[in-house]
Amino acid sequence: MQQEQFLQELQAHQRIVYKVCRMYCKDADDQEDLFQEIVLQAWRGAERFRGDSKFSTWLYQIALNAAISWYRKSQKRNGDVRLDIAKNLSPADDSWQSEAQELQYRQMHRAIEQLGKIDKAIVTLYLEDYDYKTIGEMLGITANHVAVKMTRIRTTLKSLMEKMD
Amino acid sequence: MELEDFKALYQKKQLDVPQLNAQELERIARSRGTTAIEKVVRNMRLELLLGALITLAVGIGAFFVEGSIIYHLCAALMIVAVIIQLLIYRPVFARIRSLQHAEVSTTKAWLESLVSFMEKFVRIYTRAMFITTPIAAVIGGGIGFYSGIQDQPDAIMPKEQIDFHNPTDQIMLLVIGTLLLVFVYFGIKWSVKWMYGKPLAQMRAALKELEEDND
Repeated sequence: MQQEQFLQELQAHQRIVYKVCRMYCKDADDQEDLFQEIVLQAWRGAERFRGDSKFSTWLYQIALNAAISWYRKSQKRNGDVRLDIAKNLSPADDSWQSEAQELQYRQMHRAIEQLGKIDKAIVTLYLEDYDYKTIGEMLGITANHVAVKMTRIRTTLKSLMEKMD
Repeated sequence: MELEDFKALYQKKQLDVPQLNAQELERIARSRGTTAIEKVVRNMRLELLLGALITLAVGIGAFFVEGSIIYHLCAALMIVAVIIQLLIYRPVFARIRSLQHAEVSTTKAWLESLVSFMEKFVRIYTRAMFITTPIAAVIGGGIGFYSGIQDQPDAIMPKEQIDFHNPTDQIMLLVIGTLLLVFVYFGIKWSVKWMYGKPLAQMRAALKELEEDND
């Protein structure tokens, strides 16, 4: 893929990168660093993107791989790029049906944040409507294993939600 | 709230995020990476560069010290050490090059290649340090001793003070040697763990998460 075309695609799908950053990092600085890392990894892999899958699926694969293997070693900020993106990483509209719904939504998000890195990846893809087969292909496990994991994840989330109440 | 309810809401709600333009994204894409692999590559390059610079500095120094066989020996040994280091790290660099194409593989394959690389790197690095540090210490001590026997001006101590038949000196040598070995052993272990231990443990944990259901 040509650089120009890649940047256009990335610009159109950058929301995917934001979503993964938000799912994997609580801290605003970490979110920015991870954003940078994912964009960098995608940039490096762009020339090998042949269009066999959708760009969004390819970007999710890279973003999740980068997020899972990403490790923040020191507290020192990587000062190369300042985006100030993270403060805005919250749902924009405030059209909640009730305060209880909003509270439960936020509790569920916090519960998902507490999952392991792989479980978080499965949930992220599930929330984007990917089927178990595709999730399995992206992670390198079978659809059946994804289903088993999803059952466990639901149980874990339920338990975490109960603890929060 | 069930996960399905959350999903329905999640898909409805949009994140309020700034839309970066192509120029901003390109600037980010050309910045420096922060992954464990990137750190390994940077550390390795720094070590090799420093090694080469020290070799050059010693070589230049030796050139200006006329008639000092000690400095000439030092220069020669440093050059040999750098060559050995380059030979040791050659396969590691080859692996890094192959890893730069792994980012689009499945998560499991990606993690396996990362963990395998990191484990191999840590093993090679630790072994190289365990071998080269004591050798360097023995060679350094030998050169100092040789210099002392030759009564050269760059000797560690004057010739008349060197008496290896004296039990006190023998014990002192033994203690210093043992302390050096202990320091080298634990120092290297600690530094490797400090530099690569946590990212490696995290990647192993993620891989275990993927492998658990296959058992």
